[in-house]
Amino acid sequence: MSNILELKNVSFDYFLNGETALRALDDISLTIKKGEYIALIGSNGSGKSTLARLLNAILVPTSGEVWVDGLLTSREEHRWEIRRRVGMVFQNPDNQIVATTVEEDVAFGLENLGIDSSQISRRVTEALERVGLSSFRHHAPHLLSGGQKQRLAIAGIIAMRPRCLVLDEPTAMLDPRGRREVLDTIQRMNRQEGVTVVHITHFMEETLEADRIVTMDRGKIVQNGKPEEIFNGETDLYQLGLEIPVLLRLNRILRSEGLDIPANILNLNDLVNILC
Amino acid sequence: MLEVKNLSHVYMPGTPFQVEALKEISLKIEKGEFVGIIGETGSGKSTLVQHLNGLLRPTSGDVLLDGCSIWSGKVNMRAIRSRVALLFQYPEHQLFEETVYKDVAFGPRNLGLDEKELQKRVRYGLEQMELDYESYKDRSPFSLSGGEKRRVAMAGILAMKPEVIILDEPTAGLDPAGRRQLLALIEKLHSEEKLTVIMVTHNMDEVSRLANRLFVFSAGRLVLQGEPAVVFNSPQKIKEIGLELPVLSELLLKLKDSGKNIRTDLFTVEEVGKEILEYFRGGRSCKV
Repeated sequence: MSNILELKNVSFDYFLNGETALRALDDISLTIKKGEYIALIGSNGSGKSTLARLLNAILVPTSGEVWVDGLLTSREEHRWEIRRRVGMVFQNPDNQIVATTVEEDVAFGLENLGIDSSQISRRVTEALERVGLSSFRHHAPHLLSGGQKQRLAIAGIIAMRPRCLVLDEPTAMLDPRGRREVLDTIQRMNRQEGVTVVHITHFMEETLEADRIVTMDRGKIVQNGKPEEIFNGETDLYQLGLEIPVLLRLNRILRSEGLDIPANILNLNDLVNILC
Repeated sequence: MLEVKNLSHVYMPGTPFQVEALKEISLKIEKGEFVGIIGETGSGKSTLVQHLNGLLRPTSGDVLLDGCSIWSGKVNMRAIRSRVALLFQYPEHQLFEETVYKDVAFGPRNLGLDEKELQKRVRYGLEQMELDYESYKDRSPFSLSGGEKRRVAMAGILAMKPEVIILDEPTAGLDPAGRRQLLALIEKLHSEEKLTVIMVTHNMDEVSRLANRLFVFSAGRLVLQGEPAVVFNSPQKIKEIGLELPVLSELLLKLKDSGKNIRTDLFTVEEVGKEILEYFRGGRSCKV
């Protein structure tokens, strides 16, 4: 598989009055393959959101290079194409709505790309179907639930047919049902449509379905591996301000007392099967 | 200590936007309890808690504090709000003073306390939140991290020396370390400072471990109440109203469903681990 995202020795500084106030990213290198599902974790201030914003050229590195599908983010003439290929979804559903009906909201990005109206209509239909909001097409977005609003934000992005979806804590403000809806949608995009996903989250349970977890601490990448490696490994996640999902903590206790629980048991059904 | 009687609340009554947010709610909260309030977004949780210290006036029904209606006109609303303190969602958005000291002192200052008592209160509030008084008092709230800001906002509530604290999704948006720390501090306020705690949350794992009683809301109605073990023993109902079970409860219920004689009323990893080990070792089964 080829790489869709490539960061080469990337550093990023935030400036204040012309001086470096904070080195948010410190010499990071990372490659992400087409179709991968990456969970990005780390405590507040570890650099996750800065990294996310480098992926579609909202920010460009102070030094180093970010490549998207063979395009360099620091080249002005590549930026529009990069933003079409890498879509971002943010934390707060209310800040991402721009229109007065659901269909217009999805169409907004497409109109800006100059796509003709019959095609826009087709793409809106398709995007709403993919996030399960077809029956809300003519509704006012502000009357949707939190989970529906986030799915609408995702629809607006996928209508532009991006190759990569970057989500910065998309479930932080949602209730359990809304969270489930959004997570299912992200997973479907990845599994069925082959969209590459970079998912930032503070909920460790949400990372268990990822192909790979990347852990950040103070501007550096400190871990990069499969969920079972990250959560069963030796690195003290609590030192990094993180934690181990409840079920995996239970597995550790059972294992330490001699029950044979394989390391790749990550979800409830697998654990039930092993115990039954 | 707190009693809600037949309370209904209608937003924008008499307009086309009329919404009945709460329908005939009755409940009692005793002194020293730690209660959890759960339900989907829009189920009425936040509307309910805003009635508990008189921020909202019921459309019908009543709220009683120590047996007295807070709307009888006989009690001072300000006194009620210092006894029953409410911390809103994302309270750090309401920080506004130049220093941490001034921000924490804002509430108690309105109670008309003198400077000496005020200083004591600020120190108390910050220390309860594990923020060192000397090193934080002169800092700008805006220079703090998200978790620190949240704790400063909480210190401002505690400086009022309330008897009851109502926390509306206190851990929303925090990172895992921030979440763990704040929950540990809330637990301490309950166990050591003997505060009555009312916590609104979407996190079933947390609330099942912390609360001694739960109130479950759906579409403006109180649909379930009781100890976590009782509430989460109705998995069908919980899922029907859009919530989920704590992951450990779900595990135990599935094991029980598969015919294992196992307890389902446990909510910490340690307890559940012990129960499963005992089951497999204690002769109740011979597998694994």
